[in-house]
Amino acid sequence: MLVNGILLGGLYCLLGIGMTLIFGVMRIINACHGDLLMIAMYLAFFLFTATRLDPFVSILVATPALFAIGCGIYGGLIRRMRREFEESSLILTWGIALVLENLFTLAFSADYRSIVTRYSTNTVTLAGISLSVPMAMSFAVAILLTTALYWFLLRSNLGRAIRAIAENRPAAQLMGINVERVQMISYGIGAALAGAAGAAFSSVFYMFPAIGGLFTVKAFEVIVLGGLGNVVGAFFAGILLAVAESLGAIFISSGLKDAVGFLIFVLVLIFRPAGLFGRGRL
Amino acid sequence: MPQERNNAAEPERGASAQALFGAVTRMREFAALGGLLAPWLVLALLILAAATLPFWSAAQYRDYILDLAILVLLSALGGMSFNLLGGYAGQISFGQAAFFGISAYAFALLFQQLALNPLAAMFLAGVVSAVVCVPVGLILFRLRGAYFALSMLAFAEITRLVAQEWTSLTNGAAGLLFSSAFSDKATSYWVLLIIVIGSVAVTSLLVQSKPGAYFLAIREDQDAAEALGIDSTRYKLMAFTVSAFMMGLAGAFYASYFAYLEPNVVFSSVNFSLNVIIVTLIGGMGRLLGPVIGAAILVLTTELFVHAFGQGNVLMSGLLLILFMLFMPEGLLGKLQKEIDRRRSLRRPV
Amino acid sequence: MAQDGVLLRITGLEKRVGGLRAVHNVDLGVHRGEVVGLIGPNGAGKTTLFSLISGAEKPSAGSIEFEGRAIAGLRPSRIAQLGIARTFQVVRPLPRLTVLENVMIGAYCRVARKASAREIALSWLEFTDLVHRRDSLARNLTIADRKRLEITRALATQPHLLLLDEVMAGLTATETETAVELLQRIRARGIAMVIIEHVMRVIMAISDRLIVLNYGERIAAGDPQTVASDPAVIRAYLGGNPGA
Repeated sequence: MLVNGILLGGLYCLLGIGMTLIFGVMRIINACHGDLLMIAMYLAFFLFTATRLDPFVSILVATPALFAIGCGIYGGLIRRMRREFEESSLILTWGIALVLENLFTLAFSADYRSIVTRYSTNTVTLAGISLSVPMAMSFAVAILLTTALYWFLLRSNLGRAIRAIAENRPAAQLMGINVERVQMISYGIGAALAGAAGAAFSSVFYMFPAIGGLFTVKAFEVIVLGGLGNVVGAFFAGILLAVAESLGAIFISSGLKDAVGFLIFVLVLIFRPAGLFGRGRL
Repeated sequence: MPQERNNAAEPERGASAQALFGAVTRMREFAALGGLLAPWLVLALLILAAATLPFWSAAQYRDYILDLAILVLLSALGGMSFNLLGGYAGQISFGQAAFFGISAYAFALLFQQLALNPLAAMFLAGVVSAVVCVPVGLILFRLRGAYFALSMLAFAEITRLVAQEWTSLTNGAAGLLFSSAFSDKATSYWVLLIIVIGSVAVTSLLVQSKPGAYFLAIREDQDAAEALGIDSTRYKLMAFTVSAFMMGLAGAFYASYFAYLEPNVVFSSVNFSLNVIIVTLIGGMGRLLGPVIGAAILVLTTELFVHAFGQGNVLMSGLLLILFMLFMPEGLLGKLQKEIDRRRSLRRPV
Repeated sequence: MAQDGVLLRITGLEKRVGGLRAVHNVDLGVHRGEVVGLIGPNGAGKTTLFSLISGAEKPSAGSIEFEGRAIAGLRPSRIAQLGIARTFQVVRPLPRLTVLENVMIGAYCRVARKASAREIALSWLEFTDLVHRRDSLARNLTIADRKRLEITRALATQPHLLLLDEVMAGLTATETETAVELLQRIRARGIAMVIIEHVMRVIMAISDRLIVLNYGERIAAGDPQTVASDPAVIRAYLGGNPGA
């Protein structure tokens, strides 16, 4: 149970990395992040019900789809905002989250859905510990994507541009980087990661529209724990959070499992606002 | 056209033209005087209309209208609580639901278990929230901006979970059922109306005085405010306690009226924390009557929407939130102020 | 409380940031009604010194006494209430409030009633010749007026000591003249001032004494003429050390 909890950390990682990327580049706290994941889950669900497409394959569909949706949300809505006060983007994205959640509730009802594949209940035994197969696969996907993103940020030109803007936006502008476009792409990448997470973990969870909100909260916790804007930190924080929650469920009560996350969130903000790993460069 | 441009510029004007001009100027002066009185008059009329609502609303619709009115007043009260802390003092909190829920349960306990008079119970329930907010504020006020907002959300969620688990106190998710505090709807309505009017009056006095000015200073630039001798923690706490008290009153009233409490409902971030933000945003942050106007608009448009489409009132809230955030973040009253200023500056020579 | 007319006494003040000594072993004294000029190359620690005095930062070591009372480490709001006011290098008006409201907030430091605060604010606005802009929003002011607002607001707190941080920066020649004239008037009111300035002729004209900082340390002190011709000072400004 503990190990499955850790595997869940893969999901948290993907969410956290995406959200921290968005924050690092644009100083936007993306309150609709979990809902992007939710959209991907439903996408995977419908692809599965319609064409029996394996959810892990639908990652290939969900990721670019969510990239596009993310760019759309940024370009159509977020960019238009005149920053009256600092919390503006948070409120705006919360509104977007509400709209997304409720649109889906209206369209598809609040019923729980799930994807059941041939291997949904399979387990594999590794070093004497029994792991759920879909969870393990999802975790593997998470690791894969994280490494890919890290390589991308480090090596590619676009990745360098993203890091430049995160470090010093005026300087990046002066260097000729098209800040608006790169920002939109960064948002899209964050959304794409959430999309990948949604598709990957869609065979593991029950899905319902409100699940977006729950995961957004988790993502908040991860990015604060890992250091706002710190991609590597978000990775470790994701795993850490999942472990802490598992321990909380085991030792305190499963009802208060979520409270563990909240407490960590508040405590970190108060005592170590830079996060465990520091507000770093990406 | 500037008023200065008259006889001096055109000496050939005939006597009748001058007389006409004089009359217009006098009318302008009278209108300006009326302009000073008009808001008070309008306000008095509105209060009168509101107070007598149960009488002049058609009998068959009365219950429905009163329900709506109570909803408006409740949202307005919550909005004022958010507005004081967020609009005036600049500390945006996403966790007002915490005080709503805490006072709701406090009321239930005071009223049902201790059989206190409902009005006293409401007041005390509000005090409970005001007391709770002090340690919370002392801990969280070192955080600024979005971080404070989010930690307040975390606080609200923590209280929700605690309420869920502390079944001996709150009966947990099974819910707490008791009897309505007031005999009929109209009485409840009047109680709430008085609470709201009182809150507006208190807020108005507060913001026109030294603490109010200090709130604004903290909002605009906390460090500059400190350099001017403003103990920001002290004044933020002041705003917080009054804000928590008002939200607590709202929660206590809710308990007295609906008489059924459940943690997921009364601590709901969407229904209460977000709701109070939206109404304040629509009406205008930092404007005294912003939340009242915003509440009226939100509730009424949501009602219309639900009548037309059957469901989706939260969707409506979300859409309004996005629309106002993007296109009118200063709110309706803010927009009005801008228009007035614009016209005034056009008339006055710069 | 202030024996021998000493208003502010700083001894051995130290501020370490990371491994750096932003302020090192600084002694400073200001007498009642005196104008002390604080000069030195960029990054010498002048603004840090102001922050330490005004409470925005806490010293690593050393003591600060104001009117006989130890103030090192107190909250900035407390220090302002005790009678030290400061302006900021980059002005910080309260943008969405009017000029009058800005100054009233300063005035509220001493009074509680709105009418009294208003009165005090208006009289200071007249003193600094800004009263004609009293209903303008602070964010709509020119840079020169913003600086003047910042000073007026600080004056409204009725300070005994005023810390002015580069109030001449960004002003035209005419605006500078007006500002110097304002400083003379403030001085005539008996308010002591410590002024950080880069515009040399201003600081020479108005200061009773000069103190020079470089790399966080005091390298010279005394009357303006002597200090200005001190070779150590000249070296600090022009000298061999690139970029302080």
